Formats: sequence, C-alpha cells, structure tokens
Amino acid sequence: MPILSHCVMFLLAAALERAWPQPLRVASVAPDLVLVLVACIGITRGPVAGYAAGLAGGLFSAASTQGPFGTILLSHMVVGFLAGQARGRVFVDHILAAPVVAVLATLLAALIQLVVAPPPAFVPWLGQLAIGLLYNAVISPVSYTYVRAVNQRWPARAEA
Amino acid sequence: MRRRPFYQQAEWRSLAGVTLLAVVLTVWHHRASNANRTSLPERAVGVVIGPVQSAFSRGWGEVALAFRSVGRARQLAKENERLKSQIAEKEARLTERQNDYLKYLRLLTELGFPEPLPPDTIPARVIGRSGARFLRQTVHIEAAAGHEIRQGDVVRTEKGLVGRVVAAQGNRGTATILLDPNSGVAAVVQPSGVVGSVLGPDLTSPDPDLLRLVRLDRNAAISIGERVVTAAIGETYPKDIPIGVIEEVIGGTAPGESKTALVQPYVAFDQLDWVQVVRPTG
Repeated sequence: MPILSHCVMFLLAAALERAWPQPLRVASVAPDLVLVLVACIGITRGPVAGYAAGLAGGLFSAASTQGPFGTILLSHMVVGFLAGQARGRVFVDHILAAPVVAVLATLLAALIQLVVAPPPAFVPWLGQLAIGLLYNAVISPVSYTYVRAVNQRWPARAEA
Repeated sequence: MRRRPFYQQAEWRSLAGVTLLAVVLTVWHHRASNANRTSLPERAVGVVIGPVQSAFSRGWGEVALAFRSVGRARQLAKENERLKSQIAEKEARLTERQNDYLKYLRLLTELGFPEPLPPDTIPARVIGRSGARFLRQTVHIEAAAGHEIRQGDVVRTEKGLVGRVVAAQGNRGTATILLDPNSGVAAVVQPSGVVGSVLGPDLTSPDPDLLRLVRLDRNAAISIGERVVTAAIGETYPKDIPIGVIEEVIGGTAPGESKTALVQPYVAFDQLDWVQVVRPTG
C-alpha cells in the first residue's frame, strides 16, 4: 500500500514539477519535487526502500524531463540509499531536518551529475543549483509531512 | 550489540535486484534511443504523466485567472470609491452654493433690494419623500426662512414639472408629485398640439414609472418622441412647463376607443434635491 501511495506521489510530483507555473519559478528554476520525495522516503523508511524509491522516482523524473536517463536514475538511487542511512537518527525525526536533508540530497545529486554528465556551462549551472537548493529546502517540509504520515499509517519493517 | 555492516545483511539481495532493474532500464533506454525511439517504460510513464500534467496546467491557469480577476475587481472598487468621493465632493459644493444663494436671497430681502428671481419663484430643498408606491406620492419641501409656501403652489425643477403643493405651513410644504396615482395635469403635446390629461401611472402596468396621457381623440396624430407640456387650461398650472416625452401610444383602434399615450417624465423623482416653487398667477 505505501508503495502504491508513493508511486502516485511520484507521478503527481513529476507532473507538478513539469507544470510548475512560470510566476512561481525563480530564474526559470522549479523545485525538484521527486528528488526531495526520494530523500524523505529514504530517511523515514531506510536504505533499501530509499534505493527502490530512487529507482521509481528517477524513472518518473527521467521520463518526464528527457534528461540523461542513467545519470538521473543513479543520482536518485544514491540519494535514496544515503538518506536511508540516516534513518533512526534522532535529528531526522524533527520536521526541520527535512530542509537539511533536501539541501544535502540536492548537492549530492548535483555532484553526481557534475561527475557523470558535466553541464556545458558551469557558472550558470552553479547559479541554478543554488536556487534549486533553496527551493527544495522550502518545499521539503511538505514532502516530509506526507511521507511521515504514510509511514505512520503503514509502518516500515525493521531494516538495516 | 554491534550492528553488522550493511553488506552482510540480507537486504543486499533487494539492493542487487533494484540495481539490476536500474541497469535493465538504462540499457533499454539506450537501445531505444539509438533507434530514435522511446523505451516502453518511459512511454508508459509519459502516458500516465501527460493527463496529470495537463490537469495541473489547467488548474494553474484557472488560479492565475482568478487572481487576475480579483486584481481587476480591486481596481474597479478603487475607481468606484474615487468616483463616489468625487460625486460627494461635487454634491457638497452644490449644496454650499445653494445655501449661499439662499443666504443671498435673505440678505436681499432684509436689505430691501428686489429679488432677482420672479417674485413667484422660491427655491426650496426637498427634505423628505413618501414611502411605498401604493401610498400617495408626495415630497416634503422647505424654502429658506422668510419665504412662504402656499397650498396650490406649483413645484418644478429646471427639467420639468414635479407636482403641486397640497399642504403648507410657513416655509414648509407637502407636494403631490406626478407619480401620484391621483394626480392630473392638463397637458398639450408639442408640436402636434393635441390636448389631453396627464394622469399618474397605472400601478398594475408593467412599467409603473410612466405617466398616462389620456382623453385623447382617437384620431389624434401623436407620435413617439413628442414633448408633453402643461396646457393653459384652468389656473392650476402655468403653461409650457415640460412634463415628459411620449414613449408609447396605445389604443384608438376599436370604434369609440380613445388613445392613451405613455409618457416618460423628464424629472427623476427619486433624485430630487432642490426644486423651484412657482406661484400660479391669477
């Protein structure tokens, strides 16, 4: 049931990300809702669930953005897995951890992209990354609240 | 108890499965890309996302439209407020001028100078109006102190006839207006010269704000748009005071049936503020 719920949320997030209204974009940058969702799933349900969520989220994200498919899958899966490693730590139970996790997830995904598929122009990419970091941090409490609610409704089994 | 390293736990199989799936998807994607196609999973995701994205776009469009509408409504409200304040300011100025004029008249009288208006014309302020339509339609007027309003005085504005004073005391009076169902004024149609009587509106008709011009000859040649003014018949009203304009002519087709004309009065009775009280001569 949580898998279905998360898949629906990935679908909505990917669609919303693409249809993000122009007035709400900052310098044409929309938040990476799917990536934030993957990170939130990771910290609430563990590394395996985060890894699988990264695969599903990456598939939705790559199919909707027409970006580098393998890079997007890889970055989302790594973000989900590493976010899952933080599961069970005290600080992640607080909702204010969500912006921190979102910022770290965005940085990590950007780093992977920089290594695997470097952008043609670095400085504009850096500016977009900075805006994306802030935007994802602002959006993250909403994603985190949703994921936590799903987790309370269908608690995760004990994992690593 | 010390936690075992992750790679020694059973979950590695799940991770390996997910990784394998990712590799399969990536290879599938690249093979499809090389053939200038889209892989089946991507197509499937695209098919599912498309309608949802379209719904979001439409939703945003509606929200943006609503915001723009609210902005426009606010702008209109501001403009409305500005116009209202302008009207209020102009009305205040008008009232001030009219009060000054009344003071001027009073001073002229006190100093013994002749009044500039004809002696039988007194400006008066409308201070009240009767209520429901089925009651008598009257206005209560008040002239400046020192001016006497008498029963039988004619009340008019610069636009046309208002009515006649039926009760007076000192500088205050009550006048029935043309909209009173029982009012009656001898009238003449211009330029045709047809004579008739203007009566108050028929309250049962679809348009109870129109006066009725009755007692017209069935062969009377009147037409829509002609002016109706008071006639020099009797001594109740001075002649040639405008009453209104003919809006519709009805009847006069059956044998023995007289014509009736519906008359739109010139005076806006619900916006009366100041009137002139005219004393009929003779």
